Amino acid sequence: MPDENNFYLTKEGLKKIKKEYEDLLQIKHLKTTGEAPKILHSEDVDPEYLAYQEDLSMLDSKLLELENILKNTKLIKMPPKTQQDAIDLGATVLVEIGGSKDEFVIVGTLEANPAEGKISNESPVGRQLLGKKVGDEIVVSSPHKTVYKIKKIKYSIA
Amino acid sequence: MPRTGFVWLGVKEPETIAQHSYRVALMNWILGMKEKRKMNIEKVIKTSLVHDICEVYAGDMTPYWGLLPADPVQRLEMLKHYIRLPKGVKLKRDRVKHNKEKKALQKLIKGLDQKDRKEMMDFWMDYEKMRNREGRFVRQGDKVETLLQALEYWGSAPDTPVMGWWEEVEEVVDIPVLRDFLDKLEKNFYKKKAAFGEIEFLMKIGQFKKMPRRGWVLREVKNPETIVEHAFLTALAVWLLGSRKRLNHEKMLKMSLAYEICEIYAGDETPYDKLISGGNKNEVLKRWPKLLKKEKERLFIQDYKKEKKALEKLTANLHPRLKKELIGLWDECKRQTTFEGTFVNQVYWLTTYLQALQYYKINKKFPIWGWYEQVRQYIYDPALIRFLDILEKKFLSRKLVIDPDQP
Repeated sequence: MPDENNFYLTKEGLKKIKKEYEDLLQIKHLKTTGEAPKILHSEDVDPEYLAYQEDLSMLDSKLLELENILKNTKLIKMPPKTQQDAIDLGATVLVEIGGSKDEFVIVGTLEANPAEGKISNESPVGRQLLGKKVGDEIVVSSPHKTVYKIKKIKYSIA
Repeated sequence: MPRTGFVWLGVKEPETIAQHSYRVALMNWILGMKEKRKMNIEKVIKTSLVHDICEVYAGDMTPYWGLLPADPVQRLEMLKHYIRLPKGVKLKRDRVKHNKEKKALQKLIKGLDQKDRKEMMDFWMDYEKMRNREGRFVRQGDKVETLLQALEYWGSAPDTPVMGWWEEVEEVVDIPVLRDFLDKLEKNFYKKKAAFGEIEFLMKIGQFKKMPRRGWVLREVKNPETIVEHAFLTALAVWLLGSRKRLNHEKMLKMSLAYEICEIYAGDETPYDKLISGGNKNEVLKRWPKLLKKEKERLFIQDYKKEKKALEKLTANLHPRLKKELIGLWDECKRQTTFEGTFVNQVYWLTTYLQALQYYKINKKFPIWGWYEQVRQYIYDPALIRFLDILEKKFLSRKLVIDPDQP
């Protein structure tokens, strides 16, 4: 079962984060090796110097966030064939809800986007689906009960 | 511009996109501060403000767009549940929607300078693609606020279907602070536990969404702007007009959102209220009231005390730190004790004038002179004065130099 302290990413998702991290490092390098605006010796705040400092601190906080993600990343891998009958991270699940069919992939929170059919493993629906097999049902009991019947599970991890 | 989802459900006088965006911003600020891993609240507020503005041109495309039957009974039946589609169809529809909205946003912000344009587009993309923690929080908070609004409608009209929204949040929302808020909502609406803390506060703000601005009611404007819509516009204006100011931007945005909430209990009094009696309304409204300094001071103190009392009542059950922050922000803006407060106070009057000019553009009988006089006393920030000039060039064919009291 997924550990809440880790960030679960597909290979594609990890690639994106790594690229963003490297791009930001490059920007930081360019900023800090270029000529930084000097603090003017006057009572007025120098806007150029402040903007430079603001940019740097924003960059640093974003870099820290990405470093934390990269440090705690767990790659979503295809489970062994014998376990592919159960829902795990990376599974594409076809469900039936009140007679309608719906389909989504279970991903980690960083890649979730239900509009694109990607559901977080930490959402109530994602959480309950984990470990279930074809033929199983889950009942999501927000005030109105919704029954999800699992029709199909497949794995094709990018 | 009303929200399509609630129009389809037949809600009478449904909330507007501006009213929704306002409470999304306020809610995400308040709940966002509770996140264990600190978020950039300035970014959370800006992302909330910008998340739906593309709808000015793109329209409000709900997950049901293009799929609802024309027959109202069948349509209502479909709206009872969250839309279910194959993954490929979802992806395709999401792409179409995204492209349409992106183009609409580009059209809307094309007149802004490059820095502001980039920032608005970046924050909207953060929301759209959930590119960072702030974008993800706003995306999920948007769904939670919509559910809260649906529950409020359901509370007063129990045949309003809300199941579809519940189904959606169960798939979308995974941030613990928002999940906790959803649990509290469930207890409040289904187990009849009295609302307390943030829920109570945000529900009061919900009741306030439809409260029209008194100044427009007095002038008999049809469908007048509400206080909340004005606060939304003020926050956007503070963001753009203040972007080059070396001030605390997070504080100014919070101030714009918090400044008028006291009116829930204090009412939206105008300087004209005490002067109108008998049949003199039209005459009084022509000019900005002229009073002696002592009288102004007396009225200000009276108004200040009333609003502070109202704000204390409104925030009574909030966490003491949040209560203190809200009252402090209002106080700074009301008394203009800081640079931030002074700036937001002036933008408040500037956006009021902008709305007045828009009413004047539609109806030349709208008494604009009072506002014209007033901004000349209340606005003194050089950047805002420049903006004032631009506005007047756009809306007034010439400077109003003719005294309306003269025949």
